[in-house]
Amino acid sequence: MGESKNARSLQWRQSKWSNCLLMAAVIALFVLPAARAQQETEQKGLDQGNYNIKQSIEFGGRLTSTSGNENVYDTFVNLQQGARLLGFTTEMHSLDHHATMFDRLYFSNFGYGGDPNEVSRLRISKNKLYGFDGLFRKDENFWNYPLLANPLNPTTPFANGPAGFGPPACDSCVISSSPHLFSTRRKLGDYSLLLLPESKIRFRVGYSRNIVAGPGFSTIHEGTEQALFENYMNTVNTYRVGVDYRVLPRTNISYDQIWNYYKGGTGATDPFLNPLFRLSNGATVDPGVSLNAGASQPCGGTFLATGFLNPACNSAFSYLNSRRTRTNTPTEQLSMQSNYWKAWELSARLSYSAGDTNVFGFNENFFGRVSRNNLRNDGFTGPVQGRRVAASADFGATWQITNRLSFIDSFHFLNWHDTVQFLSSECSFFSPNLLTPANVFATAVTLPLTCTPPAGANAGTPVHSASSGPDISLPNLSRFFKQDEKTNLSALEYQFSPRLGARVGFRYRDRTIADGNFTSGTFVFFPNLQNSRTPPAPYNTDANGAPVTCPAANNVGLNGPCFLTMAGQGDTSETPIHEYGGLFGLWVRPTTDWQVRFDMELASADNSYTRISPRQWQEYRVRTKYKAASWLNLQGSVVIWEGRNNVAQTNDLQHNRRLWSLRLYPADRKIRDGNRL
Amino acid sequence: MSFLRARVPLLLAGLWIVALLSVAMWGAAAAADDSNSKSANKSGKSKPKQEAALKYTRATDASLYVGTETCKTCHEDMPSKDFYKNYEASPHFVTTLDTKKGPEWHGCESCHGPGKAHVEGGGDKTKIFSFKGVSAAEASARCLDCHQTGQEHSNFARSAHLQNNVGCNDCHSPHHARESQFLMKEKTPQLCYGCHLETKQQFTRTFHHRVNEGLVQCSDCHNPHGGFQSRQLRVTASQDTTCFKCHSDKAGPFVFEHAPVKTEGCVSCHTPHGNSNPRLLKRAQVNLLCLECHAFSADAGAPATPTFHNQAQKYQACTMCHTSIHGSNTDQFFFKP
Repeated sequence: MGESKNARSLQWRQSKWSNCLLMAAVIALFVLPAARAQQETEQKGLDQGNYNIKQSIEFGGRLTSTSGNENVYDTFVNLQQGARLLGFTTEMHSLDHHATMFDRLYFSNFGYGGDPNEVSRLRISKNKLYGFDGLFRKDENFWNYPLLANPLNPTTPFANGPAGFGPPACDSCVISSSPHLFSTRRKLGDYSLLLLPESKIRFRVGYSRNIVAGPGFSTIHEGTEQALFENYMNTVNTYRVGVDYRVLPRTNISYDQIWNYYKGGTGATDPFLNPLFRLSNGATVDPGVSLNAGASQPCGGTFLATGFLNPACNSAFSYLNSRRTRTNTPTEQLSMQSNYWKAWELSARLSYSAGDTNVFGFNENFFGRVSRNNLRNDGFTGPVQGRRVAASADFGATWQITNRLSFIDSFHFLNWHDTVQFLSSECSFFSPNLLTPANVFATAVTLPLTCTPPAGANAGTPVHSASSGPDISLPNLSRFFKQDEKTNLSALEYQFSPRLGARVGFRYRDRTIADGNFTSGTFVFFPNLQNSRTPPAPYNTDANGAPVTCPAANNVGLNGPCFLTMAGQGDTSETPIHEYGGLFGLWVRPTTDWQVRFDMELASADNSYTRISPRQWQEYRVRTKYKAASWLNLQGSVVIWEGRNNVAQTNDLQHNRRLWSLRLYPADRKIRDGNRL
Repeated sequence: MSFLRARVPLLLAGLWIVALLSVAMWGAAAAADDSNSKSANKSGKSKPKQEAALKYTRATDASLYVGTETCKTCHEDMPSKDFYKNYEASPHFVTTLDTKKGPEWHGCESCHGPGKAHVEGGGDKTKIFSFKGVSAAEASARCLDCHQTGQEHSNFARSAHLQNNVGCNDCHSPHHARESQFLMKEKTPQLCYGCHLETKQQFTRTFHHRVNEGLVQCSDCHNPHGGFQSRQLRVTASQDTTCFKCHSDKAGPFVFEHAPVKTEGCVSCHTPHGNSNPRLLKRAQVNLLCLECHAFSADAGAPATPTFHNQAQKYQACTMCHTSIHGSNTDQFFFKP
């Protein structure tokens, strides 16, 4: 997190020993090809017992010397000093293919010792008995990009501001590092075991584990943008069990049961209470990361003549946000593949997933001030429950009509829908400024929710503004989101000769995207202004778009709280999209050493879901390879994609033209590239 | 032009139907021709017709096979030194140990077909199947005869690779593999870059998935053997985009979905291979991407950006406030998770 003193410039200065390293590298450049050529000859390995063993190990060390901003180095490079295991590989295979425990073993590793990427792979197999594949990967990501030269950084000094913020300059106003910096660690483990791989019935079991752990930083928009410290850990465990059954020659049926369990745990706090930002009562606050006197952020007249922060400003004393998300998704999958019939090759897959998601322990507490609505304390909680159901059916067929002509068809169906509900409850307390604690309204009326008064609160009438929301909110939101998709691709392929082939095809895709929401809720408005404030969106307007306020008729007693119960309201929408595309492809092999491939797609759609989703698009791809000599290969490619959504008021046009790429490489694979984008 | 554009789907569909009918008639005629040829062949009046090129059918007559040991007599060091020894060490050698299946499944002849004529012809190359000089489909048909089982390979016949004449032997080398694992010709991603050269430059951009570093493989996201998704992309078990395998916190479902994430996919906003934007966004500046949809328009697919979002100020970084842009359970404006 700490930055070097010379953070404004990024200069790489080479010390004496790094110059020596450079020279060594130049020498190595001449020497290594010979060594490499030796290495590339087939390694014989060592025969020991019933095994042939090949092993290689590459130790090394990194000597790193950096100056300038270390965060930049860690963001872009992050290769730190120290000893490393650059590569370790062991391969064993049984000489007679009939060893006791295993016939083949492959164990490979790299990156250990502190590199940001560490990978291990283990494969063990015994013919006809089992095959195990394990892969473990760990990577570290650091991100903190200095924003010193960011033109958005304000420079206007704050009148009466503390040192660094006030006239003549506002050097401290600039955001010197990424507000959303993070230092995450991801661990990915994939393990699978195949039993009886060559028998009629094969069994498969597997397990995957994916962990992403923070910490990171984020921001929350509560009047201003307060920086938050997030300590999170998300874990996904996936368990797989499957069986393959060869029912007929060249015909397999497979069944898989997969269980996916996601655990998301996130907590965020605001630890950035800067002693420079004090109220007149001595309390420190966080006015957020947007410090821009020119734009009145966090407020106009941010500092009083006394140097204290204006108590009418947006600021936070503290913030806490925590939740535990759990998503449990079992999936059943049935698939088959057959080339039993001479002229046909078939494959199909059916799958069904129905998963539940729950957010437990959601709790958000804000203690500070939002000047727009006088919010002083806010407690927000409630459970989230959801369900995702996805059903898919895929079918593919190849019909070999003649020796040269074949017809292929590939059909994909997917229907998924998400339904999620949030039953929230929110207690809000209001005050006119940061120095005045919130007033707690005392009433004998039975309220739908008991709110715990914040520390230091006084009994009295809350001081609302016209923009203040309800004092108590109990909204119920239910959302529905769905997509139904069918895609069919059919094509005819004709092979004129072993050197020339072409295909023409047609792709059809039909999508229907639907969403809906249903909302209801109860809101309580305490005096004052209980009859002129509005509930939050989407409850703030009626069916005609007119603002909704709590009518005086709903007041309990004279000048008492107003209860507003919103009848359920909902809306739905549906977007159908039909896409049609023509495909053409051609491959040519003029000589044994030269091959050219070309394919294109021209497509259009009668609708689009977003403005940047094209209604017409075209893609052209050409790739060629030529082996000019045993020591020289030439290779090139051109890829052009263009899409447009040229309806009125949108006229979106996008293209991605990778006009040419050229690669020259001799047989020893030292590669020289040229690209033009 | 608009008249033509409006009719492009109809024109394409019409052309397709015409082509389909033509081919169906042609196919029927060709099938009849095949049938006539076979009849003629049985009566010995015609030369044998070439075996179906795109489908491998093993000859089951055991007398046509000579066995691997016979192959070894010539091919021990031919065409390269230790040729047979390398084969002995390869996984394919186990086929010679199978005692249950017939000789057409054993050793060299399992792939190259019966060798008797080749041997009797004094090593006549025209009398045994060689993988050189044949199309990818024809060569791959022989591999798939054993390797098509399992979900990984089950769609190779319809894969974009095979349709572009990229067959098994373009990536795998049974006799000269540089990589022992899966008999690959080369390590990935260099192997993939061998054709997808334009992709290589994407992975050399400042911010990219760590493919070149060896952490991520092309095959983590794409199935090189084909599938039912475009770009041969993989999907998760619950049919979600493959991105959610690692970026699982973006999968939801959420109370408030940023709908295009689910319907148009991550690539609607991101370039997954690499980009100059730290979050792999399609545009270098965040708001330029957001505004492409969230701008005022009568075609109101997405809510317009409020007028108080001054684009000259901090609002250029939309995600400074809309931090949970992929979806939120608690805030319809994505201000919090």
